[in-house]
This record gives sequence, structure tokens and C-alpha cells, in this order.
Amino acid sequence: MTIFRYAMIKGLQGKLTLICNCILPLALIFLRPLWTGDFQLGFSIMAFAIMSGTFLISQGIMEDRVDNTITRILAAPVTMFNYLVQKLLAYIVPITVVIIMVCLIGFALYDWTFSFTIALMLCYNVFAIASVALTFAWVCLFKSKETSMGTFSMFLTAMAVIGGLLIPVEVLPTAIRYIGAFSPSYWASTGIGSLLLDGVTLRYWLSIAIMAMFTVIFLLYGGKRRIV
Amino acid sequence: MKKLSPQICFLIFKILGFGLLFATWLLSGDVTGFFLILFLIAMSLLRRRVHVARFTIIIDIIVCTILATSWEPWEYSVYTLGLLLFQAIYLGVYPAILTLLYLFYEFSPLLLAIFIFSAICGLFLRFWNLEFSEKFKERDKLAEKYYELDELKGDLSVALTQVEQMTAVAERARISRDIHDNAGHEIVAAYISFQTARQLFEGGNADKNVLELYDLALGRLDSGVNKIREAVHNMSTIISPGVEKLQGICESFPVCDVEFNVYGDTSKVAVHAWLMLESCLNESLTNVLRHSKAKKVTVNIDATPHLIRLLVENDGSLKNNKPMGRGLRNLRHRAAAIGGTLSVDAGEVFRVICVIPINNQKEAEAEDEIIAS
Repeated sequence: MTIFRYAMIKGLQGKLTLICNCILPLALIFLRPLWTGDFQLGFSIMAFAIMSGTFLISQGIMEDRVDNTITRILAAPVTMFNYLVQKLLAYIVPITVVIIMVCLIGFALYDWTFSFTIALMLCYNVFAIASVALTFAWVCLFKSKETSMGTFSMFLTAMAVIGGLLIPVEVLPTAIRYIGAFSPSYWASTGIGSLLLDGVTLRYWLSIAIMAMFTVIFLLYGGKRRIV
Repeated sequence: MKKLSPQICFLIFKILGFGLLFATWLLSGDVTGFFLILFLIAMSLLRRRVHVARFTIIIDIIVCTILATSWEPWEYSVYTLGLLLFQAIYLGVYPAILTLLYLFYEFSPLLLAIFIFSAICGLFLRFWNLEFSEKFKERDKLAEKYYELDELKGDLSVALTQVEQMTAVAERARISRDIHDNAGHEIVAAYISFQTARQLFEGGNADKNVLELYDLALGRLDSGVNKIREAVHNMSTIISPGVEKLQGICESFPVCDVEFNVYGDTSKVAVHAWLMLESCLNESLTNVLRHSKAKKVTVNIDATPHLIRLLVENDGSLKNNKPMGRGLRNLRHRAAAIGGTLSVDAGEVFRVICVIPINNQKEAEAEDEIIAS
């Protein structure tokens, strides 16, 4: 698990990455107005923070490729599958821990029910994994870090808007909603929305299943592309 | 531009199918439909990327059939069955044709048309793909044969060079032996006789000038004898092809004990035959090293007046091994080129037998004489 350990250390060394992955979600949960009242924007803002954090931390794969670290790693008896599994796990584990902490704090502070907390935790975690998979598939498309970062920043913002993380899904025009359905963020906000309104329903489970399907598709797509 | 192939057509058909499914989802806006399409894409990618068994398409059909009633209106979910029927027939999973039974549950002419169209397209692409694969296999076989022949050509040219070199070496050895055994002995004997005669001359009343001339001649003869000895020494070879070399190869084999036996007179065996036996022994021992779990190897050389036979056998024959690899096949060609044979017995004990005829010159001359008379 050497690759896993060093990927996690390297991933959390950057200040911005550390803030987006750990400090910001933990800080957000203490802002009571975001989690109470009619709008409850905290849930979608948290999803946006998770998406940004995973995007930043997952750039490690691109960095490895740019500075030829991957070539040196693969000179050792390590398979590409092993490398990718350890790398992706290293990016998923920190945010998963933070999500669990956030949900537990929310459970303590805002009188969430136990089933609601678990369902929210699951929804955020599946979304985080889907975001890591999406970033991984994205960075596999580019050879330059700058191009990847620049285009993905725009893509991320657009995805947050049409996916209903910054603007509620219900407000968006129907055509935009249909386009937004092709991003995991739409299904994260749909899942959270149905959880807030109706609890754990079929729609919630379908949102989770769709995010899981997105994860599989992105991983299968990215995993077969040449990254060396 | 990439040439149109059944794989590309299959991909285009699939993309079109998924495109149409997304279009139907846009019409319905049903979440189940979206999940179903994503599930089918994921499974399709899984089969394409990870090369899982083609029968996994049955899972797709089962999931699709289960979710068929959940996607409103129901026809849309049945369209997915059409796409799956196409994929299944293309992959050769013919039991998928049972999806047509769905028509007994909910019949519609449009659905029947979609099913028939998908099945025909899948069947057409499957046959095309099979034909394509056959052509590829044939091309691979031809390429393999070509590379094998190329390798054989290389082996033969190397063997030819070796034979030339070793013939030269053997000829040098024969010349040095002849000089040493015949001319050398005679000259040395004459030299000793002259030295004895010198002592007799000293006792008599020989002329001083004659003695001086005699000593000078004796000195030159001494120098000549030394030069002949030096020349013979320089001409003689360090390693010559033969039993010793084969024994050396067996002794240096690192994996297990090699029992080496020689029967008969091997002095009449030609250089090219020794080289062939050496190559055969090397290849057999390499095969023992790479493809067997042998604990004991036996090497027998039987020489008769007409032929020489090499037998290499080991007790570690593996069941999965091919009886004859490329190396042994090339050696068989080489053996045939010099009138010999090479055979392999891949039973419980793996045996390689190489038989090479010995061209006996005296017999050949006798045969010529008989023919002439």
C-alpha cells in the first residue's frame, strides 16, 4: 500500500486541496443557516464542495503522468491495475472520512434522523466516488495538465449549474434539466432533494444507482486509456 | 482512414441504438429508463474493455425484462430488448432469441419489426465477423509459416558457416596429425641417427672441415625439427567437434544429472554430423530446462559403421507440452538436409532421436568400383 500512502500524503499536501477536502466541508456543517429554514442550501453547497475537492485531489494522476513519476513507479513490479486502485482509493478515503464526520456532526447539531443521516452519508459518498471517477476519466483524455485543469474548471462550473448544485433543479428549464441528467451532480441533487422531501424513496435509490452506473462507466472508460 | 470492419459496424449500430434509447428517454423523462440505459452502457463497456464472458448479456436481458414494466410507457423498455437481441446474436448467444416471447405478452407490429430487424442485423454482422476472423487466422498462419521459414533459413545459414569453419578446423587437425605422425617421426628419427653418427665421427679420423660442415647441417636439422614441432603445435585445435564436446555440454547442464553413454566407434563420423548432433543436444537440453520437470536426463550415442544415432530422453514430460516446437522442427529440416531423420516421442518419457548416416569413403569407392565393373 505504498502508492496509496504516498498518494494520500501528496494529495493533501496542497493547501487548496486540504481546504476543499477537509476544512471547507467541516466548516460548512457548522453554519446553521445553511442547514435549517426553507431553502437548506447547505446540502447542495456541500455536494459542490465535495465535487471541487475530489477534482483537485484527483489531479495527482495527471501530475504523475506529467512529471513521469508513473513511468518510474511502473518500472517496479506494480501492475497498472494495482496503481490505479491504490491511487483512486487514496483520493476517495479522505473525502469519505470527512463526509462521515460531517454527517455525524449534522446528526448531532440539527436533529437529523438516523436513517436520514445514513442515507445522506451514502448519497454524498457515492457522489464523491463518481466525481473521482469522472475526474480520472477526464484527465485520461488530456496530455497537458494546464489544458485539463482549464477545461475541467469550466466543465465543473457548468456541471454544478445545470446539475442543480448552485441553482435548484426545479428552477432550471426542462431542456437544461435533460442535459444536466448526463452529469452525476444532477443525480446527487435529485437524490438529496427526494431525501429532504420524501425520505428514502425509490427515486432516491434510483439516483444512487445512476451515480454508481456513472462511476462504473467512467472507471471503465478511463481505465483502458493509455495514461503512460 | 480506418477500413470498415464488422466491429466498427457493430459499434455504430450500438451507438445508434443507445442514441435512440436516449431519445425515447427524452420523450418519457422516466428515471428508470435513464438508469436502464446507463446500466446497458456500463455492461456493454465491461464486455468490451474487460473481456468478460459474452454470456453476461443474459444478465442485461434479465434486468431489462424485470424493469420493463417500470419504464413508462412500456414500449420504450422493450426497445432496449431489441438492442440486446442484436448484441446477443452478434456475440453468438442464441438463447437470447427467447426474448421474442415477450411479444406474446405484449404484441405490437412495431416491436415485431424492431426485433426482426435487430436479429437480422446481428446475424449478418456475426457471419461477417466470423468470415473476417477466419481471414485473420489464415493470415496469422501464413505469417507464422513465413517467420518459421525465415528462421529455418537463418539456422541453415548459421549451420553452413559452422560446418565450413569446423571442416577447416578438422582439416588443420588432420594435417597436423599427419605431419606429427608421419613426416615428424621420420625426421626426428633421422636427426637422432645423425647425432649418433656424429659421436662415431669424433672417434675416427674425420676431417675438421667435414665435421664443421656436418655440425652445421645437424644444427639446421635441429632447427627444422623445432620448427616442425612448433608448426604442428600451432595447427592443432583446442576443441574439436566430437564426443568430448557433447560430453562437455552434458556435464555443464545445470538443472539435473545427465547420464552420457557412447557405444561404438565414433572416429568415422564427419564434422557436419557432429555439428548436427551438437545442435540437437543443445536444443533438447534447452527444452528440458524450459518445458519439463525432469530429474534425470539420459544421452546415448550409438555409432555403427553406417549411421550414428543420438538419443536424448528425460523423465519430466509435461502433459500440456506440444510434441514438437519450432526449434525441433527446424532441426528436423536440417537433419533431412544431410540425409538424416529427427523424431520425437512425447510419451511419459520424452525422447528426441536423431539418426544421421555416415558416409564411409572406402565403401563408397567400393560401390563405385562395382558399378564401374
